Amino acid sequence: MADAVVSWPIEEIPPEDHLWMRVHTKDIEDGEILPRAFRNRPPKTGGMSTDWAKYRTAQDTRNDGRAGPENYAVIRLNVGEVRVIPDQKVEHTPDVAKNNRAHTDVFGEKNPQTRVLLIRAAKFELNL
Amino acid sequence: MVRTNFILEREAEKAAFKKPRAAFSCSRKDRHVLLRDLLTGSVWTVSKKHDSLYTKLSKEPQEPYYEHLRSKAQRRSGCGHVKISGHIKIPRWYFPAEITALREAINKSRSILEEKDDRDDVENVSESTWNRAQSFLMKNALKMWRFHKTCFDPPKIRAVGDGTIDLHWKSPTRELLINVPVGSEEPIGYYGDDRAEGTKDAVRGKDLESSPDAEWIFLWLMQ
Repeated sequence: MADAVVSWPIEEIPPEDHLWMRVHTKDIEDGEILPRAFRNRPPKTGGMSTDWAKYRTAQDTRNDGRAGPENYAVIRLNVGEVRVIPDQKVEHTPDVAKNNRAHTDVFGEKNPQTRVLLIRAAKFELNL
Repeated sequence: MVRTNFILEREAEKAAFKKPRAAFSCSRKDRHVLLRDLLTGSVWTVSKKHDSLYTKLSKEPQEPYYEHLRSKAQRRSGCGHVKISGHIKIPRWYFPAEITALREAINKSRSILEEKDDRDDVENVSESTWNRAQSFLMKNALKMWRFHKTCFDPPKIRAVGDGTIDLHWKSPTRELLINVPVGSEEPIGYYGDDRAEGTKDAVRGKDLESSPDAEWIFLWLMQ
């Protein structure tokens, strides 16, 4: 009974907090992240999936990938730096179906400018 | 004195028996072209008054002049054409070394069409999108070569995963990302900046393909 969570409240994420994001090995070349690592799913309506560091560790985020943890690195994004990028909105979107309270979407078009600036904002937390 | 006269006489003789210049002159060539055009009917005109007196020559559709020689030479040398768009064909042997490197990168990137991608929610790249990307690159490379005698380095050509293609350059100081979208109606978007200056003097937009002088962005990248 204790595990039966109906929903979590949607919280405002402070700018000094961090987000974790999985990056597939194919999206890293010569130790550098490719711009294609940053995309919305579904492309037109969705956001870019990340986890709020307040409720999850980087290792948890890595373990969640479909291809297995050995195929992913985890990067760290500062919320304030992401919000500075034009048209990007960081919203806490807990995922009850996957039991993930940390789930956070970065909404907004991922055009070439956005993706170049996201690469510069990203830091490796767990490398390959 | 006698010797001088002899020389002058020899010169006069030579001049008298010299082949007429007109045999090889431009005006003679022009007459040949005119005659050919008259025979093939391209400038054949008859006044309406005497129209009934003449039998009209109808011209069969023919291959372009020298086309048979061109194809024969290609067969012999084993050299083909590189198709850039629906209308322009450039022989492969004509590429300068700088453009050959780009062409090789483009050919290698064709593998993204058959790539099996195990990343999450990936949409494959279509042949038309890849064609658009390679056509865009080659057109600008040839323009750069024609007008500036230089060419940009080959970019990283990568399938994004939503059906689009990224063309990514990183020079020691500058970075440029061009995205070729899925539909032919969608404009090609781009963003570039000087990494030291950040977004201050960045170049960005969505009208790169429609611009007749799109090679400016590559000149900017190479600065």
